[in-house]
This record gives sequence, C-alpha cells and structure tokens, in this order.
Amino acid sequence: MNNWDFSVIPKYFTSFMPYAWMTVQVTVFGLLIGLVLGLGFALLRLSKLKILNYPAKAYIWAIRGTPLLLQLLFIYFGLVTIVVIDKIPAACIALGIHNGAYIAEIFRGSIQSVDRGQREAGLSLGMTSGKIMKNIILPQAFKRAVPPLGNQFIIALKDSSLASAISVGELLLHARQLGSSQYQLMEMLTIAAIYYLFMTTVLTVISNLVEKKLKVSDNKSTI
Amino acid sequence: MVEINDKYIEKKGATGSKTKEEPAPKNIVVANSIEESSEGIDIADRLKEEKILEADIEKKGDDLEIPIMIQIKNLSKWYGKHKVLKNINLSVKTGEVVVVIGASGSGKSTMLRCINFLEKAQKGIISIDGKEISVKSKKLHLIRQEVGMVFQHFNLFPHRTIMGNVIEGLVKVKGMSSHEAIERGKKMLDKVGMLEKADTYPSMISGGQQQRVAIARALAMEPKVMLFDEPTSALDPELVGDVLLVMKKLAKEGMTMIVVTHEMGFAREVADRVIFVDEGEVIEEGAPNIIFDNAQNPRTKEFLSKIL
Ligand SMILES: Nc1ncnc2c1ncn2[C@@H]1O[C@H](COP(=O)(O)OP(=O)(O)OP(=O)(O)O)[C@@H](O)[C@H]1O
Ligand SMILES: [Mg+2]
Repeated sequence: MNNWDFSVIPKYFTSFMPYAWMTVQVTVFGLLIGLVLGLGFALLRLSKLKILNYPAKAYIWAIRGTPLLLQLLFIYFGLVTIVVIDKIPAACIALGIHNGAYIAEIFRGSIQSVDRGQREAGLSLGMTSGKIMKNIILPQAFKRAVPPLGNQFIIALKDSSLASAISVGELLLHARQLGSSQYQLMEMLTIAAIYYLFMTTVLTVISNLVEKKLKVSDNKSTI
Repeated sequence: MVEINDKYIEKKGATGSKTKEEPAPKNIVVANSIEESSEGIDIADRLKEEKILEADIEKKGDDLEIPIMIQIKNLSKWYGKHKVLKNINLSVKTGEVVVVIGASGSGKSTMLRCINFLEKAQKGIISIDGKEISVKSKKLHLIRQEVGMVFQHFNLFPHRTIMGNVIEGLVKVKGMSSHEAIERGKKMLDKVGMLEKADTYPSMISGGQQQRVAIARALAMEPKVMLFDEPTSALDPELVGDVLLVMKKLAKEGMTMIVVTHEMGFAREVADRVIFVDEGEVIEEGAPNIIFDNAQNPRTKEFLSKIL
C-alpha cells in the first residue's frame, strides 16, 4: 500500500470516461428536478396563502435536516417496495429532491431581494400578481440566483458520488472497484479526483462567465 | 432606430416660459392630449387655445358641470392599531391638479396609495370616474390601469430598456402588438424628452431622466388620473426642474393629477388646489395663494413657516 505507483494513471485514465459521464448525467437530471422543485416550493413558500407555505416549510425542513445518503437509501429502497425503479433514476430523484430544498431557499432569497417597488410599479400598470412574478420579479431574481446556484451545482456534482452507495456506476464507484481489484486504490482515487476537479472547475468558470454577462446586461454603465 | 429629437429641446423652453392657462377648461382637451407627438404639439397647442377660448365663453361659473374624477368619502386606514388616515374626504374634478402637502408621516403617501389600492383602506368609499370601487374587488388590476402612479424612487424595471419599460404595460396588460406598442412608446418618450435614450437601460441614465421615463411609462397606459408621490424628492437639485417641466406640461394638457410634493413653487404655479394633511386628516384646503399666503389653521401656518 505504501508503494504508490502513479505511473499507472495514464493507463487507467480513459477507462473512467463512461463513469464520469454517468456522474454528469445523474447530476444534470438531479439538478433539473431540483430546479423545478426549487422554483415550485419557493413560490409556495412565498405565497400569501398560509396553507401553501406549510408544505414548503415542511419539505425544506425535512430535507435540510437529514443527510443526503439517508435520503438516497430511503428513496431507493422505499420506492422499490412501491414501484419498480432502477437505481439510476432513483439516484436522480433523490439528488433532485435534495437539491430542490436548497434551490428553493436560493430562489426564495433572490425573489425576496427584488425591491418591492418593482411589484408596486407592476401593480400600478395594471399587471396581475402572476404577470408581475413572471415578467418583472423572476427575471431579476434569476440573475441574482446565479452565483448561489453555481455553488449549489458544484455541491450537487460532488454529492452525486453518494449514488455509489446504491451501486450507480459513477466515478467514485469505479475508482473504488478498480482500486480494490488492482490493489491500487490511491492511484484510482487520484484519477477520480482529477475528473472531479476538472468538472467543478468547468462549472466554476461557466458560472463566473454567466454572472459577468448578466451583470453587464443589467448595468451597462461600463460601456 | 432612435431619432434624435432636438425639437423637444426648443419646445421645452417654450412650454416652460408660458404662463399657466385657466385650470377650468382642462377637461376639454384631456381626450387626445396623450397621443401627441412632438410634431403634433404645435397643432395641439393651437387647438387647445381655440378650445380654451370657447371654454372661456362657455365657462361662466358652471364649474359644477365638470365631472368628478376622484371622490373619496370618509376614508380611514389603520396599520394595526395606528390610525394613519382619519376620515379623509376629497374630490378631484377632471383636469384638476391637486397638490398635497404635509409633514413626514402625516399620511400623504398612504392616501395616494389608497387611491390606486396599493394600500387598502378599512373604511370609506373611493370612486374613480363615477364608479365606486370596493377594496375587495377582484378586478383592482383593471382599475389600476386607469390610475397612473409615479413613485419617489422611480421604480423602473432594471432588466428592461427604456423603451421596454414604457411598453411593458402596453404589451403585457393591454395585449398590444409590440410594433404598435413601440409606436406609442416613441410618442411617450418624445413627450418627456427621452426618446434618444430608448435603447439604453435605466442604470445608464440620471435620476431625473429615470423619473421622466417613469412618467412616460405611466402615461403610455392612457390613465384617467396621475398620482405623483414626491416625484422629485430623490433627485439632485439640478435634475428637479426637468421633471417638474414635464409635469407642468401634463397639467396644461388637462391631465387630472394628485401630486404629493414639497416643491412649493410648483404648487403655486400649477396647482388648482392645495391640500394640507396633518396626522392623517385634511386640515385645510384651498387655492395655492390662499393656503400659502393666508392659511387659517395654526398647524398649516406652522408647517408652512418651516418649509417656505
Ligand atoms: N406599511 C406600513 N406599516 C405600518 N405603518 C406604516 C406603513 N406605511 C406607513 N406607515 C405609517 O403610516 C403613517 C403615514 O405614513 P405615510 O408614508 O403615508 O406618510 P407620508 O406623509 O407619506 O410621509 P413622508 O413625507 O415621510 O413620505 C406613518 O406614521 C408611517 O409610519
Ligand atoms: Mg410619503
């Protein structure tokens, strides 16, 4: 074990590709579900109707108060008893439900941060609350949500590794399996780390670019 | 696509230097005043003068025939236990310009915001253009289309261009095609001297310019009344004049206006009536020269002595 041989890295590097692709897929589908749930629950959470607030509060409370690994196992084994579900969609759903709670809070914060004068201006033009939300508040709120969302996406990408617990064939699972079969765990974990670092770096760069671009369109005084 | 409009600049001086016409006949020109483009102004001005002459002849004291645009009866509003409006009664005739003055916290904004139902009063009756409106109505958004509002902090939409701001209501509320809306938007921006900036964003223009765009945005909806809540108090002193000029022009065109302001010069020149509000009550009202030079109520006198 103390005889690490990093020269094997190039040899195994490409074999990680399909597993990295699985990581990407689980993350992307999980985030898509999370974004939809997040927006929905954020709107419920902010609704003037108190009855709608409670389910949103309960959801956010339950998800933020329990570990993702538990949620993943809960959903996979829980769902299996009701419907036939494969481990990959189960992982996407679990990641989606988990991220939904955090994304709901991100959206809630960014919606609330839009000055209430914006709503009043919309109202005074004769817009209904729904139109104001769609045309005035959300476009501004989404811009403000970009930095925290970027951060959440990176967390989700790393968290997708927990899907290995229900043996979804993603990066970490492959690294561990290959590592134990070849007795080269450190080397294989290093390869996985390189993949993760590459992907999170790409996400960071994209998020920074988007942020910059939105800033320009909102505040063109630099031109 | 933006035509530079120096005509406006010439006009500005011209309009500004004119003295105010008699307030009474304003209602007569109210109908098409909003549609004027800069080219239309000369004609419109001429028409207006003719009509004013006619009106002067007809006038002879039959003020009663001017329809009432806003009628407020026994309006009371509480925030929790705090009663901020106490039995307000006010009626504003079509074409009338009413200036509301009063100390900070006296309830001026609240009163104004009750008129377009941004705040809902617990007691009293509000009628707009003869129709009594219940605060419980599900169609308040339709009422608000007819009542334009200009805010102290402009509240332009930062994610929309200047033109985008002006056409937002036209497209999203009135369902106008964007082509048609832009045509109207150009007229409105021209009217406030902001057509040049149609394609820029609110953050790129000065506060005074933003406020003029906000006025254009409200006017585009062709409201029956315009409410102004301290439209110049967030502006640097040198930017106040342009906004007041636009408001004066609007008043001359016959727009019904309720203006909360500390600009006493504007009140003197433009208002048909000045209303002094104190602790949620209308304490005194009258023509500007009467209120400013000959107030009866000691509280009015005290307030004016501080501000004048
Ligand atoms: N949303 C609110 N909740 C509770 N109290 C409020 C609210 N808005 C206003 N008030 C109170 O109502 C009173 C009247 O406020 P309002 O804003 O109408 O005064 P104003 O005459 O417009 O003052 P200013 O000149 O400072 O704008 C004040 O005492 C204020 O503190
Ligand atoms: Mg106020």
